[in-house]
Amino acid sequence: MDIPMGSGADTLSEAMSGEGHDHRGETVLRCRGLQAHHHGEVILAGLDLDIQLGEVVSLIVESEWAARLVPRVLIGLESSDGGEVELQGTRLSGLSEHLKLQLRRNIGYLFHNSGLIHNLTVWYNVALPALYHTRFKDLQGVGEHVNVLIDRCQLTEWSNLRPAELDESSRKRVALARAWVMSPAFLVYEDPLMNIDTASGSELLDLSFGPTPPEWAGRDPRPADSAVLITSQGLHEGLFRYVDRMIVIKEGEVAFSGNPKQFDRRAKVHLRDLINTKEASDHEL
Amino acid sequence: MSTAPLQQFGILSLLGHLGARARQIVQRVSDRMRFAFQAAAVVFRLRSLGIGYTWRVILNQVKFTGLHAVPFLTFVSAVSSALLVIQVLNQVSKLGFEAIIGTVYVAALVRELAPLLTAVVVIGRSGTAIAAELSTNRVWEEITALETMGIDPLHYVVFPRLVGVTLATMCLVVYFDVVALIFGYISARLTTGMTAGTYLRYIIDQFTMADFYVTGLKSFLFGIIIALIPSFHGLVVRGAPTDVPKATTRAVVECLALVFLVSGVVSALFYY
Repeated sequence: MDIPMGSGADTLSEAMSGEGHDHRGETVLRCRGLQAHHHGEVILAGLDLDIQLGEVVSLIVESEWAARLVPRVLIGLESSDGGEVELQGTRLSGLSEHLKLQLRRNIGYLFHNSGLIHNLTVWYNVALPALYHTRFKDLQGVGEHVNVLIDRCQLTEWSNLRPAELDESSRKRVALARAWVMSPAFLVYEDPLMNIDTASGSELLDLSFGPTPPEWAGRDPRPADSAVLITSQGLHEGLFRYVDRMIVIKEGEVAFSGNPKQFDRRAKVHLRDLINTKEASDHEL
Repeated sequence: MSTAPLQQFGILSLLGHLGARARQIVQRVSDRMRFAFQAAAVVFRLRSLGIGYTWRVILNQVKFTGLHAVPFLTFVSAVSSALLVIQVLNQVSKLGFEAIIGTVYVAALVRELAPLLTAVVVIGRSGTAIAAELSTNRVWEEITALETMGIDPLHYVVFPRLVGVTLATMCLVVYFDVVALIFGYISARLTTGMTAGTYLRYIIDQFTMADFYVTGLKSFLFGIIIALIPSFHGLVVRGAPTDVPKATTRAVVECLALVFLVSGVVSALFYY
């Protein structure tokens, strides 16, 4: 899809209304020949990737830095060294910072270190994107939605605390609730299991992708049918249960791409140095 | 051996050094100007961005910069005005020139010291706080987090500080003048037994419309400087927590230099 992105576009709707925009909106993210380097190290050497609505994709890279850099390049926070990215049908190259910000309103982003605002309470951290992007007259519903999300993420008793008063696992849940608050079409999890233990990591994955508990049936506030991209350094077998597609990047190239079921013993041995020992010990290999 | 080539080399080296330094200064000035224009551009985008949630940040900033600075500013204003009045009246009262107190109050305090001392207090409290807070936010990736949420840091972080600090600084300068007027009178009364009516008449006789414009203009420009320079230094920090104190120091020094420079330029434009 080739989108003419004139620099004269003043609003995102103007930019998105260009010829070639995919109004059917199935593909949330599309990149072609994406290249990224960090201090001479090749992070991506021409990545082609499509992510559809409702799809959960895990992108496994070799370093912590790569796990942070790749998703940021994909949403236009960092510039790439080559290639094209289209986010929700809009090509990022040539887009002004103001329009990129507008585009990101429809993205939920979970930071590797939670990325919470330290002088705000848990409640305000979760509510911030909604409070900022909602017109004053429409603010009434925001509070209720935030309360439901905080309850869903088991944060109710801590809603008046500040992030520094919580442990890392709780901070990740706050960041998760914040990523969900705008009910985005595209969710990006940047190394979500970093700095938390295996049990907390499993809880976080269950909370994100697990089946809706009976008490939440019919009123689950999690965004439905969003496209999800999870980047991580190394392979966490906890993700196997939830992802539709795994892509392993080795030395900048795609070393494996497919369904987790296809990720067999041979592939594991081949990519042994990428396997995170957190859950997949050498014994399991 | 001829020393000409060495001298030539020395001059060339000096010129090269001066050129590099000049280029560095031009670069620094243009960086700050670009940042100021980007911040100003937010004002023109307010129609689409709206004030929205930023009103809360503006209120907090006015409260911190304005309200919380009142006790310390009262102390600074009271002491400086009392000292000035006592010193001047001690010298001139023997000669019967008490009327000069009006000139001292208007020329020294209202036009020069009130905006400058207020700016120094605001830089010490709010300028340092803004630079330290924003650089810490940058180091902890809170600013990047805002960008991932589609929140413009210039709108959410810089604009409220610009509005809050400018409003608060303008109010504080007026407050400084009022406190100085009161403590100046108390000092004059204790030194020479001057009556309130005489004291006020001496002062009112010296006031011109230009004094209101100059005070207003100075406090407005100082507010903008004290909001923008620390915001700039806070937001350009990259990486290490050790950059936080460096950014704060740079912001304070630059703010002080600019405030004194602007004060001199404005006074020169109006009074010379």
